[in-house]
Amino acid sequence: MAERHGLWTTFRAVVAALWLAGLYMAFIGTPDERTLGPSDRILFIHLGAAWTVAIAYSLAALLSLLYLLRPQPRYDRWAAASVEVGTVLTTAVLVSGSIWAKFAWGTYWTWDPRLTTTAVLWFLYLGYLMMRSSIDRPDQRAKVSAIWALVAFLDVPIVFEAVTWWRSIHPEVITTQGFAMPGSMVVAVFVFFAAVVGLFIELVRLRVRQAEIESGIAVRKAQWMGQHT
Amino acid sequence: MIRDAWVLFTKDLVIEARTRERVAAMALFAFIVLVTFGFAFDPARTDLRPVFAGLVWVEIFLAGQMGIARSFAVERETDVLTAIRLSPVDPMAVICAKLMVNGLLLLVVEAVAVPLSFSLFHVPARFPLAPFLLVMALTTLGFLVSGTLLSAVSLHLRMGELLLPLFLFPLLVPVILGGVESLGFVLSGHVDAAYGWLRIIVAYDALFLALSLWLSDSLWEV
Repeated sequence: MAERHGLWTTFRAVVAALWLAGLYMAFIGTPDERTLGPSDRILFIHLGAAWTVAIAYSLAALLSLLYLLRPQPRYDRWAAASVEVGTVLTTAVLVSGSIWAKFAWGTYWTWDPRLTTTAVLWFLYLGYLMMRSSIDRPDQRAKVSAIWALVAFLDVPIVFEAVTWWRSIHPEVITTQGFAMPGSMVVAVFVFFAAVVGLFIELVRLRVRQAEIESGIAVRKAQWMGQHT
Repeated sequence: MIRDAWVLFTKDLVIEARTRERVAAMALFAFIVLVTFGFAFDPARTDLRPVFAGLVWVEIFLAGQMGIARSFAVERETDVLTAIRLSPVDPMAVICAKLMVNGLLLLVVEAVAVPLSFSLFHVPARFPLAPFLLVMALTTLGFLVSGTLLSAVSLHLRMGELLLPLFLFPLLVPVILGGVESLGFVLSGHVDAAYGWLRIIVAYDALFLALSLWLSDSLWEV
């Protein structure tokens, strides 16, 4: 246990270092964009968060599938924590994207496929969180949430396809010719991505720990009530 | 399984035929939405043809959502779900029966609301019939399948009927877009352009039909 604790302390130190390095690169180590000036620096947090959202929701869908196949509370706890942190990150993606769009496109919002899909994604997973909060029995909550996480996840590609058909002005960062940005920015993007993933893991772990303690308290309470009534 | 589904379907149909609660409420609500649109957009002075497809689907989806939210209400209020679960009925049959009942109700609502929309919004009803019916059927199926699945899910929630539209409409985005665009193309005579959209709707229909059937076991265990 003590060894694991030490491992996590190291992990946290690495994540903190990545954040410092990422911030340094984002604000000092990379050049201004030719036409947009410093506004493009928001891209680092935007991309880092966006890619981590993909990881978060994929992870939640996988864990939900596992739960439906073999119901174990820990799958549910990890899936729920993953969606919670993922939804906070989706909010960050939408807000940072809007701020950048105001400078680059002159408007906070356009009906571009990626923007629209991200907004739908946000609604779907806010729904997941609302669903969880309106069911009291843990096993029932776990099963219903698992169903919803899977349904929502499978809906996203079709939403993207549909909205793309509908209309398409989002800049392509990764094209077939490689990255459309200078090398120092590419490094900064990946350092930031690693930093956000690290933060994601840490937050999810904390939430899972919290959920474990909560369910432990509920069990003890039930036991105590059983003994004293 | 087919026989079980048929028995459950006729049971629901008898209940509906005796009370006519859901179908009446749905059709009336569709009509009210239509009239509300009339007040909001004033068809006498505005040409509603460019947005007509959108108005029709919003009308049907709103009215349909209201009825679908109550798919399992009778069972819940009289605690028949436990009885169905105890009986040797395949859970898939329950879902199939509910899909058929909801489908029939939606069909009635559409049969009333769509012709009324054409006449009240002053949109000439000149279109090729077969593509029109195909678009209506596939879009309605998408709405039906995801709506019925979610109404089974929301059965377990506190205030489930209230929350259902919050879950359903974001999920429906591909069907809403596909239905509105393809209907728009059919009504404006560009049938070829509609087929591209129908592919997305078919993909959605197939995915959610498969999911509903696969998840039907889990839906009842909880």
